[in-house]
Amino acid sequence: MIDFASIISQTLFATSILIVAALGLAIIFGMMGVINLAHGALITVGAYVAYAVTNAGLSIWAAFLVAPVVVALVGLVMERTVINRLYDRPVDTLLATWGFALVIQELIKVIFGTSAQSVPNPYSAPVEIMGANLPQYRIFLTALAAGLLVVTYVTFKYTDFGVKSRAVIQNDEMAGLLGTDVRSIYMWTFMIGAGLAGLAGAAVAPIVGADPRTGLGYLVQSFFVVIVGGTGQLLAGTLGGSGLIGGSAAALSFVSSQTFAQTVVFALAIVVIRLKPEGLFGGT
Amino acid sequence: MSYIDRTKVAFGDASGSTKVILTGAVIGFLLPAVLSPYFAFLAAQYYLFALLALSLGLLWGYVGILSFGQAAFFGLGAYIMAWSFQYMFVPGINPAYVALVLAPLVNGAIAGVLGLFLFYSDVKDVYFVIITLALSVILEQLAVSVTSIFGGFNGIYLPRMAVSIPGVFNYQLSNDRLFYYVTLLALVGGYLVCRRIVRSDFGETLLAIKENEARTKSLGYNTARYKTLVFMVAGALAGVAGALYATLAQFVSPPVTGFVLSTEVVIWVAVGGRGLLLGAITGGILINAASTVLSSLVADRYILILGLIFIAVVVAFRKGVVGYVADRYDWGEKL
Repeated sequence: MIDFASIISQTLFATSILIVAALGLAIIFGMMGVINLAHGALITVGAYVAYAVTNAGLSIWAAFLVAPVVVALVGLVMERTVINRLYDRPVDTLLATWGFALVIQELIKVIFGTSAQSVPNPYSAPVEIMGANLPQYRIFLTALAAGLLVVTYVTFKYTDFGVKSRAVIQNDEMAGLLGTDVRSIYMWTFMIGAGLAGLAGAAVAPIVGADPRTGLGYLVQSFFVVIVGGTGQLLAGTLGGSGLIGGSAAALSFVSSQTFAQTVVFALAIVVIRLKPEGLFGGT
Repeated sequence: MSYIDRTKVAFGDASGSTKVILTGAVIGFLLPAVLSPYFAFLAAQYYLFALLALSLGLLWGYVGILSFGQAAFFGLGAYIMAWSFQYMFVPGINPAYVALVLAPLVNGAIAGVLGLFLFYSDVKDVYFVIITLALSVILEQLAVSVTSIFGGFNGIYLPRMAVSIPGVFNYQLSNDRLFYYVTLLALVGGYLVCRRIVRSDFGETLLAIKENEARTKSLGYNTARYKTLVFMVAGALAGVAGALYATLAQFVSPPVTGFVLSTEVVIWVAVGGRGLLLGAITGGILINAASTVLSSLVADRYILILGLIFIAVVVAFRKGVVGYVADRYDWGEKL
């Protein structure tokens, strides 16, 4: 039995989750050009922070504050030790971040063990909207996605830091000559991207729990979101990419198995990349 | 190049590298005599992984195509071997032979179609990486969920292959030491084929594409065609490796196609030495051997160690183990 309201809510929800998951990558990969294959691992760390915080008796809302900070610090370590040497070697950023992904995943296993952990859901009760029963947490996630998207966009578009950041990414030599502290801008931009990945982990944890491979599932999807949407297109790209990758998979899964839906969407994404490599919203 | 030059290039001029390769082959030939059958089984596995690494080494080192989906071809080859035993495509003919012909053909065809689709529209670098990664994820998902064909998580069991000449003899290679020689032969054969390719005029063009594709194109070369052809060869090689792996392990399950193996191969090649065929082979053997030893000492922590080594190689030792040794002893470039 397929009802229209649940299709819309599922699609909207899948899109929102992907927006939250992909936003950090849209900054680190889409804007900075660092092919961050550790993005999934950073999301996993966020999910585990949520587990640790709630397990310590604190509320999940505390995790929403702690997770981005912790993961931004992980990002800081990555950026300072390795990534800052590789800004002109994109393929090597890809390899090195994959190395980090392995290391992070193994460290998680050392600290938390290999079994999956569950994280309490703050809004488990459903709420009725237009005749459909929707879990409250989904509505919260949709609002979170919209909020994050707008705040991130405004930050990079209009604030002093955002303008400097885009200037450094576009031409770091020139920006440096004009007196911008290139090193610290790169560092902060990377940390913001990592922090968003951490927040994403905490946000999905109440739904999917935390296990060492939690983030891996979002890795390929996030890359597709950023590439299909168009690298560097923070607002339109992330929104459109998430809608296409997450939304269409959710819509398709009503008429077929989830695996099949995912396969079709990946194939679709590959075709889009082939026909429009600059992304749907890229290339002005 | 004259014919004589070509011969010289093909057979080397007894430089350091040739000695090393010969030494390696002799050691490989003698090894089973001194070590247990179980070791022969492990070593046979390493050689097949090394063959998989070689296929990536050819792609990455000589054309600059980094694929994160090479295990998909390996896995497909493995399943083709399993299906060949299951369904006996050609009655009366040794199913392993059928699979060893089918695997490279099917893989070559699939790689050809992908190449036509991707290289001809100039999909490269990170886009190619993500697409190949996705393909490998898709294939693994299919292998897990389409249980009627792939057997799902439970996988498919198959027997060890036999060497046979119809009407003359039929000998099942249940002895691991004997199978070891099959894999050694496959690895050496694969290496010679790749070396032949990189040392030909065709290989020169590949290197030119790696250095500067736009310039090579403007000199009149159809670079997409070259890339597609090499992608086909690499797919075929990985397919043979996978097919042999299936009948060695006598079991195939979704992880052989998957994402994890695909990314591990990249690490083997990078640590061994991207840019050198021997680097890929060495990386494939060394890291797998090391992980066997380390995992008995530190359990799963070896992945942690491997990850750290990999990061160090990427940042500071880009040429990899063999790359530095080859430089040091002046072994030449096309190893």
